[in-house]
Amino acid sequence: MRYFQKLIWRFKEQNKKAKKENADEAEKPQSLSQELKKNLDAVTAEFGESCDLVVREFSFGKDGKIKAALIFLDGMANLPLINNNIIKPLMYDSRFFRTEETTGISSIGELRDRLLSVGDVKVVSTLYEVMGACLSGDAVLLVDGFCNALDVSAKGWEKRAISEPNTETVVRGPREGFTENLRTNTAMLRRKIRDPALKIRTLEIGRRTRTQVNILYMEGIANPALIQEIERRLKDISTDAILAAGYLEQYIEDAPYSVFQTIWYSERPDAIAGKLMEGRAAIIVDGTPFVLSVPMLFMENFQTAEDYIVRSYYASVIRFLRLSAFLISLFAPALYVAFSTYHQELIPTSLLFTMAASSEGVPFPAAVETAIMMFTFEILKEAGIRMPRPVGQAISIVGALVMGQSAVQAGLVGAPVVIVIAITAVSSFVSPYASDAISLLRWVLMILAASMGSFGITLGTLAILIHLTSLKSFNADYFAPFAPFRPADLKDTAVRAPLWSMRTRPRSLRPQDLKRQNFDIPFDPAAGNGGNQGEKP
Amino acid sequence: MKLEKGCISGWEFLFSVFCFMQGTMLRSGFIISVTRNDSWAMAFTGLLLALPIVGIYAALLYSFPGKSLIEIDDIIFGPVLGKAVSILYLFFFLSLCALNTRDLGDFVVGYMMPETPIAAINLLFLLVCVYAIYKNMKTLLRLSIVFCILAVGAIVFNFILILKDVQVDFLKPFFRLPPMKYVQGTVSVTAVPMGEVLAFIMLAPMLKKSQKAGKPLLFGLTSSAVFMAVVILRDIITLGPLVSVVSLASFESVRYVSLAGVLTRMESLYAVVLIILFLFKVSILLYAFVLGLSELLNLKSYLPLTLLSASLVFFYSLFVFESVMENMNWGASTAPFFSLTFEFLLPAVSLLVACLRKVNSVSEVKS
Repeated sequence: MRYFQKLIWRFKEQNKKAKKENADEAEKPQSLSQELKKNLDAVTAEFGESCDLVVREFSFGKDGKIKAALIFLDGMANLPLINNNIIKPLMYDSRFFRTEETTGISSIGELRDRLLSVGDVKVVSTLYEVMGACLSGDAVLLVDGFCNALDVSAKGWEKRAISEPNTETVVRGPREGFTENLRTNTAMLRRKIRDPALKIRTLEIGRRTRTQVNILYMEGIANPALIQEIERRLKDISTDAILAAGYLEQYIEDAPYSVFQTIWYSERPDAIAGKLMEGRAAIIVDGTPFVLSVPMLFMENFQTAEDYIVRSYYASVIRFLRLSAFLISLFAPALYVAFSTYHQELIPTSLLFTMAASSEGVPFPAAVETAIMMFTFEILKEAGIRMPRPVGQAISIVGALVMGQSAVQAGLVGAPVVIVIAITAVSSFVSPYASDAISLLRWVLMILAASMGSFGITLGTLAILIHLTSLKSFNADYFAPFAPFRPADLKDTAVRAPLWSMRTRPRSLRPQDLKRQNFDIPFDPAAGNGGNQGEKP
Repeated sequence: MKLEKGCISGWEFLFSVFCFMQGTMLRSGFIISVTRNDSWAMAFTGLLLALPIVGIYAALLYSFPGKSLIEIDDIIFGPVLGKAVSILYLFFFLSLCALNTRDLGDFVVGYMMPETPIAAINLLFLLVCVYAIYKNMKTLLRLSIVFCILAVGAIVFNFILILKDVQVDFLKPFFRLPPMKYVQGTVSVTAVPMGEVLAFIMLAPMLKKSQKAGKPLLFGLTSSAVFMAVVILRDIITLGPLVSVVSLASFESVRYVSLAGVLTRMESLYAVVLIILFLFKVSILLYAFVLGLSELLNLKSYLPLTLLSASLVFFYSLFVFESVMENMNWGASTAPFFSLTFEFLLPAVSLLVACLRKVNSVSEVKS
């Protein structure tokens, strides 16, 4: 018996070893051969019959002795650059060199050093790297007799110009928004923060899409543990396709089962630069004009870039307004149902009469009535997003006139319900980040109100609060300056304190460098030192 | 999932004690029915009497740092007798939990949802409590500051709005009742809201400095005594002689608020705050019970017990009283003696035995 066990164990071990060796072999990338023909065959075999692959064979040097080939993908590479800076120097300019210089090039690096007038040229030596370079828009120069190649950066595909963001418009802020191109986006952030401490780490995610993902953070401000955590989570992704930042978000978020999002996003470079300066990290995914920012706190649902541009009084009023709109859009239907079903005594008498008169003849109870209208609103909202632009008119006419007015006139729903749902709908658009969560929780609260009145709403709210407090976003407490309570961070919540009074970065993010302004200089507007200008005069 | 150690700051502990105490505000009716217009003073005398009890708790926590009540019992009384004492404590927590759930159910049925069966209310309420425990007790303790601001805000707001309806003369005559009444009032304040902080001994290991649990306990108790006095005072000077007639004095006094006919029915706000505080209190008591039970049974995690215990509390709360009158009678006469047995007698005996046997955590480590 024991012998058999031993045998099986040995067999297993051997199997494991064999598998490991196999895996090593498979992982070992195929290196380039010295023969140009072999290399070209390998590349064309990989790409198959893809018609956008361009292989330009030519010869150069004295008497055209050196054979070479240039490989690139049509549409991805910059053709004028290839013509003028790669092919021309090699084929034409090389003739003007003295003979001994051109006949014997000892290494392929020499070509790069002396002939190619392109900024970014790398030496690559495997087939995998060659393919990768082609697929990312570079041109690859293969030369006969060398077992490595040159990866010449010649990226030049069509891209959208920088334009004003559609989703977050501001009155006084900058007008540029991120684009689909990763490098343009990082450049926009570099222009906002001209500090070498702005570090960019790059990763390639997705086995087949090989999507470029960049992590941006301020060294010395952001907590190193945060960056490590982000990298760890990104490296754990083993999917074959990341097509947008939203894909990535779902793989790395802390609470996938929560209705609240725990990763913030923005289309505005100034907003993301602000987040970086607070000690957060940004994640840019190639191909998405939305940049992710982590960790996210609950209050970020209500913060906009404009809050920091306008003066603090107005900003605070607007914050307050946004919070109230959030509460209205969450609670209005539930409260209406609870009051009209269970707590009529809490409604002022004259209003109660009006409400009773208008819902007279309505065949449904308040809860059903409200549910019908809420459902209708969700349909209208979805139709408004998905429909083709030219039919927009039809939707608004049907929505506003037929659904709203006619329903009341026909006596299907009461007028108060339409008003309640209208204010709910408008309020939910005030804080776009939270609107997804709200539109789900609204139903839960409505059902609780229909069954348990205001007691149900209170308990539902408590459950939401407990849930919010239990959430974490990249080790930061989601509901942070409130629970756990951090008084110093409250300056940027329901009120937005003046910028000069925000002397520290948010403690909830655990930044490495807490100090945003120098503490030792008292703020004195009359002296005009702004409270943050370096040394004392 | 075991108890997470060292994740709660002293402040959060303090505010939790405060919220826990404020959850018993409803019970002020029992005291008012005994000591009438002098009840506000009972908050302070009750606090004075509670000080030695808190001292005992602090001493226990100081000499057994990082240990919960169940572990302390085992160390002091040995494995067998210690288990018996622990079971007594757990019975106390369970009873308190059921009593408070019942109180909440009676309150909601009486004032908010008169036609809903109490079973439905208690069920939904306990489900949210279970959810809070599932989501880790830490989160609820952290929320205590928010709840505290809500509770204090509601009290202050109501007090300001009601100022035009008060008559300070209602306080007179001062202290004319027979002395035994004051003793009864003091003892019941000590026993019913204040001594119940016993449950916090179970939570003390969550403190960052678990040895220094005494300070937040003491300050939490003091501040809640002050607010208790303020609330009772408000009720007395608003309602006058009515105060000892109505069943929920603080609820009735808030009803007087009427500002330009617009700001009325403030008691609904009060009811919401009260439900929140009740949830806080019942969750902590339920947690103390569940955690104690899991430690007693040597379980790795307390989570599987939570739903079971909640259903136990649910049925217990349904048959614990047959009517509101029985509840009132219990609160005024029996409750102080019942509670003090567990709140004072058992811990005092524990401390005494610990002193006599000269055990503390240090010698326990050596042996």
